[in-house]
Amino acid sequence: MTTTTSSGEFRILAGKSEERLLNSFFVLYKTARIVEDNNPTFQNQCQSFFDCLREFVDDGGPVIIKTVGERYFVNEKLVRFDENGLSGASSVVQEWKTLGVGGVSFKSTIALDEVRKFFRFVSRIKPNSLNLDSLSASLKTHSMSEVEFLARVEVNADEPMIPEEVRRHFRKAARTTFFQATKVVEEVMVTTRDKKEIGIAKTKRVIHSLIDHITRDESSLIELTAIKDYDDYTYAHSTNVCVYALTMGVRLGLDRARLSHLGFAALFHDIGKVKLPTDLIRKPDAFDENDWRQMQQHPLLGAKTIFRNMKLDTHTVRAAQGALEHHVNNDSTGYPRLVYKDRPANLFSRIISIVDTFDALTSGRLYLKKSIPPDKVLKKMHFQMKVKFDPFLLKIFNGIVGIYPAGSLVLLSTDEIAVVLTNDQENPGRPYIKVIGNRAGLLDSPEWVDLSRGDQDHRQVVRMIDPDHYGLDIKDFILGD
Amino acid sequence: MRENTKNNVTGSQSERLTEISFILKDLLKVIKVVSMYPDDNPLPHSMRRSFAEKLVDVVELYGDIKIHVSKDSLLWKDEVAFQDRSGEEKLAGIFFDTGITNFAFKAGIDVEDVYKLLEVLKNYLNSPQKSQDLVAMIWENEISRFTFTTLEDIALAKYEGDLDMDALAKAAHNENSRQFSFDGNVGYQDIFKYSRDENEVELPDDPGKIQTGGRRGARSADGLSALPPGSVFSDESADDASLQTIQAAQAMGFGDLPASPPATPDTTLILNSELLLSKEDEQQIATLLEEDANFDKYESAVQILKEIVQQEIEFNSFNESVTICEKVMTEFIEAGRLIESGQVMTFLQEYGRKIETDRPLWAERIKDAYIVAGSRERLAILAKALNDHSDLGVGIIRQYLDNFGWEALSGLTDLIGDLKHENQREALCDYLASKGQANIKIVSKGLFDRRTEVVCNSITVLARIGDDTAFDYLGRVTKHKEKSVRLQLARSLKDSPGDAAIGILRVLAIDRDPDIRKEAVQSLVYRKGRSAFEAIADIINDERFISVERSDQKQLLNAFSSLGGELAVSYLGQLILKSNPLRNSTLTFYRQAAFEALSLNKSEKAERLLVKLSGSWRTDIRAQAGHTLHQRRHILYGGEE
Repeated sequence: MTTTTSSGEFRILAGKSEERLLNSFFVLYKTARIVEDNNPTFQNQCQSFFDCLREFVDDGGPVIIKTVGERYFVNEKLVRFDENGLSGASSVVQEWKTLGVGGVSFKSTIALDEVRKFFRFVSRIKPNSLNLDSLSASLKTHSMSEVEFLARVEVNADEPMIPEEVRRHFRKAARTTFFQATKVVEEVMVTTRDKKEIGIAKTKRVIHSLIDHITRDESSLIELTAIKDYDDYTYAHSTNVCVYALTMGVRLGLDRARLSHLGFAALFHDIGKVKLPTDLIRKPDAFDENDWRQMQQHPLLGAKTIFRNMKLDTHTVRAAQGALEHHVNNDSTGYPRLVYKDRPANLFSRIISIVDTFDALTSGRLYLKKSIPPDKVLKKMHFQMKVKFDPFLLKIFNGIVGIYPAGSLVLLSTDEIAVVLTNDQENPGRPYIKVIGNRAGLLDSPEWVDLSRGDQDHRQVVRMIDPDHYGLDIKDFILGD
Repeated sequence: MRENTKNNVTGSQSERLTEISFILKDLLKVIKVVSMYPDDNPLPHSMRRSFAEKLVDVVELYGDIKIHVSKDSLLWKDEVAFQDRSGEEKLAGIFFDTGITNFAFKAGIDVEDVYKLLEVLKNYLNSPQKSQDLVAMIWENEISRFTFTTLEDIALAKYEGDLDMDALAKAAHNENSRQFSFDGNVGYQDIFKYSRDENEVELPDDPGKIQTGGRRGARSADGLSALPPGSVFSDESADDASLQTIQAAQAMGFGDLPASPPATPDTTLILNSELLLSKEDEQQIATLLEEDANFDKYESAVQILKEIVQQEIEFNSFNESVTICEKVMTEFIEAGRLIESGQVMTFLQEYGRKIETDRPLWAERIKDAYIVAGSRERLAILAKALNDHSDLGVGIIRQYLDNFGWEALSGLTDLIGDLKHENQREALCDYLASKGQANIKIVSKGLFDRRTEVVCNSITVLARIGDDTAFDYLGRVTKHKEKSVRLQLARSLKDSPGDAAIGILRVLAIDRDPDIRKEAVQSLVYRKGRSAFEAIADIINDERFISVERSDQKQLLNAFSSLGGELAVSYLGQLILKSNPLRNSTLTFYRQAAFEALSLNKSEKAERLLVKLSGSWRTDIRAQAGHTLHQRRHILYGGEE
């Protein structure tokens, strides 16, 4: 797996073998300090590490274990990037920082005895009295020519924080979760239609997963909201609203419990629609007055459905509230006309109101039968700020969507077509993109480009492209890697 | 089990299995201690610390420890590492019951992770009926190096088959042929028609000042680019669908939204500094978040229910909403939230009154809800909730019960026997006594119930009502075949004033059961007045008096003497002077009891009798009389003769 993202530093995502090796290395590193030479645990771990090492020495090159920033690499493959830490690594790496050490290189010819010797050596290192040079000299003195300490590498500010291979990994997992969420919504709505009692455990798990993805890399999910081509858009719309709402929740700094509640409320904000005639929901034409009257029942029907079919708990009450209030405007107009007007709409309802409107208008699949460009929807929403939407929350949403929402198709000044992957808040005009075509046609292998990097000045976004207009399916480009 | 295990694994695995078994056993011990002891107790702290350190060491040595959860055991590499012994000694069950199918202590786990896990388990185990969601709690606490899989995860993974992501992606790739050819007028190459030369947007350094390229056309008044004629994004492309869109947008309140495809984004708006968060905005958001942190699911649910009911404009739908209210009220009760359940009930009553004239059918539906709330089925849920929530005090219970009408009195009478906590029973009886006076027939129905506990409850309530009608009903219970019922009657009347209660106690004092007799006697002997005296005199004259325990007989004679004064003296004298040549022990007892009773008699007649007896020729009588006289004067005059 190769990528063009950077100077060649972080190219490939490591597999299980690298993980095993790295784990084994740090475990042994710590054990060496605790136990004596003849301790069986130490001996076993040396053997175990040596076995792992042998898997990598077949090609005759050295095996390099190193850290850059908060990341761990084996032979340039990124091993650790998430919260699941490696055993004991942090204290070792902290010590390395003091010594100016960035890693260790093992020659392919290293023997088990020398591995033992090396770890005995590291167990005696005193960070305050040594540095990289003295350590290297000391290794030579102890006749350990098969091992070498590497200098610490400072993180390059231009280096993307998440390499493309890692992003791709995120995106793949995110897609699975996104579609799982859509399936769960569908399942719940179908069950609701049959007036059955609904368990919410599965929904909660999928929301937990969505939150984990958004916390790690929000764009991996947001780009999926650009796909509008579904048989029944209601379900995907619910997931889109959930993704946007959760992204806002994360930006607002909500704790995980509240994020879970928010996600649940967002996912089922339109559950009342299952009680409306299918013909109305799928009506290809614009709604007439009677259609609107029916449609305006869905918030009330939604709240009732949730209370009737789900067990009372914080998730369900929040969801009932979100369902009831998501079409209530900031000035208490909208529908339904609430009897208790002195009570401001709940925070979650206000969030859902914003993201629901945005997705509904940009999709062209719900109330409106043709999509409206995101910037125009945002513009109108801003004009309606204070009346319809909470102004503060709308500003946050503005930051999420930005100029080029993730998942949109853009034309570059280099006559290339690209899908926007990440909307950089700091530099909204220079997103992270995937170039998928040029004048000659679509590329065999897409190219991932970070426009915010200095070497990408020649590429500029010219305009957004409406994929429908050109007979392109955005789904192909988003899911096509 | 251990033998089998050893045979099945290698030497080092066997050691690991043993170590992991110990860890799991320790985990259970620590969970129990941590859950049981208060936070300020040093024991759970030290146990927690030593367990966490041990677990971290083991994981450090062996790497990930993955445990499979079965119904009553935990497996490590298909070997049983822990077996639940009982409902009390279960560890596997904790995870199994919450749908966790496996869990792992991951390499790198630290003491803090373990502390978090123990805290979560403690909170879960201490929640009423383990009502909290353990899976959600673990996730919310971000115990990153403790991972797990649930049944739901497995169910979700099945969707992946449906989605067939790889196939979808592959299909997507294949469909994207590199040479596009469209039947329509607009094709792939048209994308590039207005590319760099014509449409380039240069983003300025200052986002607030967006400039457009000279050849791109002038910016229109609303800030949108005026694209060249024939542009794929020009307004000319608006078709019928666009018109419909505009109409629909108007209906949604977005009247002037153009239905054109995306062109150069309106960056002036998006990058406008007014739309960036200011310090004040951040403060406002902080306030919003603080307000939201006070979200109360019960309070909010009440508000939503009120809103739902009042939104209804059609009966069938209204009927459904009231049914939903009934369901949620039950859930409130189950959670011990009587106040909120009462609030919904009060709201429904008030709303029912408000619409009674205009919508009688609707009001009737509300009345039904009100009656159903007091049904036995619902009250059984209330009883369970009260038993589960000892913290629900008298005030809350009374407040809740005040929502009920007379229709619920019968069911509520039955409820008393189901309540575990004394204070809650008291509250209910008080309520029934206060509401039952006007509906004594309903409350008294319980007296004829075949369930003993219901009869007992009714007795308690009627005794508290304490009027003549109530005692009329209670009088009928003196012959009840169940001892517990008669005993309850005697106990309930202990503090009941009035002659009617005394009449019933008189009957109970000569009951065939000694416990009941004792209870009734104890209740009678401390009463004052003529009725009490007459009741006691009747008991003493009854042939069954002799069957009363001697200690109680003594107390009755004492009360008889004390209350009767002069009227009692003759009878007591007869008991003393009864000839007893053979020194019959019964006669001897009565003589002694009579003397003791006389010592409490304040009348002159008693004094005279004792003086006379103290000069009797019968030495034993003379001695006892002298002693009693002395004692009586001591009682009456405080030792002065």
